[in-house]
Amino acid sequence: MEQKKLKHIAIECIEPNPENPRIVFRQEELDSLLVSINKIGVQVPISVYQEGDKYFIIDGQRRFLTCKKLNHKTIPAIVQDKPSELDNLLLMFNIHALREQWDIFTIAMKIPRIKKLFRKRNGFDPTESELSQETGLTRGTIRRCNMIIDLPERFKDLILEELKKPKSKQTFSEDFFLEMERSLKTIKRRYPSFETRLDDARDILIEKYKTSVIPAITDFRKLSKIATAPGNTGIDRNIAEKAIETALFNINIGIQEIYENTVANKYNERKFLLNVDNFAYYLENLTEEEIDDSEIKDALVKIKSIIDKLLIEED
Amino acid sequence: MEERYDLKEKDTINTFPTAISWNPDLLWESKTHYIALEISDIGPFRPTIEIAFGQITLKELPVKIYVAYPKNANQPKDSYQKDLKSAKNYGIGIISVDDNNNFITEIEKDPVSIPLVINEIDYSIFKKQICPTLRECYATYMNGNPQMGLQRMYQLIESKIRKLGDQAIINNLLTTGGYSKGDRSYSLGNLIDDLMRQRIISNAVLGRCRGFVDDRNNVSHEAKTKMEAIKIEKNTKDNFKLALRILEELPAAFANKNYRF
Repeated sequence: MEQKKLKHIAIECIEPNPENPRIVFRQEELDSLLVSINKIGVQVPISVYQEGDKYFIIDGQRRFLTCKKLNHKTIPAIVQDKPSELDNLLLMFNIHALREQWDIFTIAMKIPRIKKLFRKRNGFDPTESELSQETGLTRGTIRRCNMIIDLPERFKDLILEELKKPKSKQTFSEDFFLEMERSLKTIKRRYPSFETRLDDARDILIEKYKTSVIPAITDFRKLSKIATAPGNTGIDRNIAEKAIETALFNINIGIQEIYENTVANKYNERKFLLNVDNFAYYLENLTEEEIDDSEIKDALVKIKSIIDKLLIEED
Repeated sequence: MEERYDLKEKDTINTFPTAISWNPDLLWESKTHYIALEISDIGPFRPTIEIAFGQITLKELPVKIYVAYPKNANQPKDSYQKDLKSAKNYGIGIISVDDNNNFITEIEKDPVSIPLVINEIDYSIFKKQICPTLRECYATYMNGNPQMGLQRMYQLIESKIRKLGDQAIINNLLTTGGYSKGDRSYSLGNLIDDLMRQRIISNAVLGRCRGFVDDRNNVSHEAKTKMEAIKIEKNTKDNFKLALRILEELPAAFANKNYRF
């Protein structure tokens, strides 16, 4: 391997790395760097590889953009050997994704290409675990990426537009779509009859979120709970199906309201019974020493009196 | 922007002709000025302008800067006010873009060429009675109309000198020259000469008034080239500062000789 060299390279000879998954660089992220580089210059050289008379950035795109903005003529850079296509892409992940909080969308958009290059190199598709090892991303992140990849194109365009805005101004974050997709996946698995209508449902759910009929993205978790309620709480499947129909297609009713009116009580009851089971198990396994402990004894007397009172009231 | 400054496609340039630590998002070159536009994600100011401001001023480069920002960015109020103040202090033009409403743009404030920028005036050193007019002059000057701001300063000084002339006539102290009380058609330059000849108040202050009146004509015509713009802008700024100095000194000079300001 050739020895790596430190050079001062003319800004106009440098190009962003075509494999860099980051598409959006928000101003708020660049501003502090701008002030620092203007004050003390570039303290850490960027890394580049050379191809013809151009240099492509491996690491340091924000420093490069900042220097360009500050009209610097050159930038200090370490020239590395040109990596293979797959290595170049994986370098982007290993250098950046672990160091910075990347938008999940930008990562997701590069996953299919990594899979393709991996297949070309190894002759087989990578498993989730292999992808995780190669990219340094957790398996959970890869699963989330797959969910984004499977979204209809119009929603991907919407996410990209949102990402260009400052964080505070983003309405439809990636998290919104991830929460929505998770709940729709649960519905699809349990009620296949909805499958062909899910795309229409997405538009309605987006509208409901826009108009605050769905006020929080965590409400989608309740939609999943409605879908799994027949199995978890024993409520009638038809009731759950009807509730899902309303949640997905009635523009005026929020998920929370439907949840409260259908399955909330059943879930509370289930939670209560589970707690009682745990408590009963604990009581049955109390040692004599513990029973003699005055604090525990007081607590047990208190519980007994509450239970006695409740049962007498019932009689 | 093209319409406002009669710019053509060929007038778009990539960078300033001289080393300035800033590449604006859009830059045009008109006959008399460089017009720079910086796009902001949030508020009506950018730190890049703060960085470049000193260099542009030092090199007397005639640059007018606009910041375009999204009107519905929901910027926190404090931070918005801070940006707005900076934009005012640096003489920056503001364009808001209503991105929720089909990208309607509105010029909220016009810029002033950077070398013309004057720091906020310390009003505490002036007579209270002229402060409202001074504020108005400064705002006009910094909001894209420096000539008009200077013109208003001229009118303020003229009214004070004529008032002095009238009082001197009443006191029978102004006996040479052709000025008569309330004669608005009598040349201000000649009136100052008359006042100086009879040492009505400090000749040092009146001498500065005379210089100010003479120089006013040098800045009142429109520049046709950048070189002319640089010269005119330098004179405009110097004259505005001179006017401020005169208005600071005149009340004491009046009072020394028992004239009402």
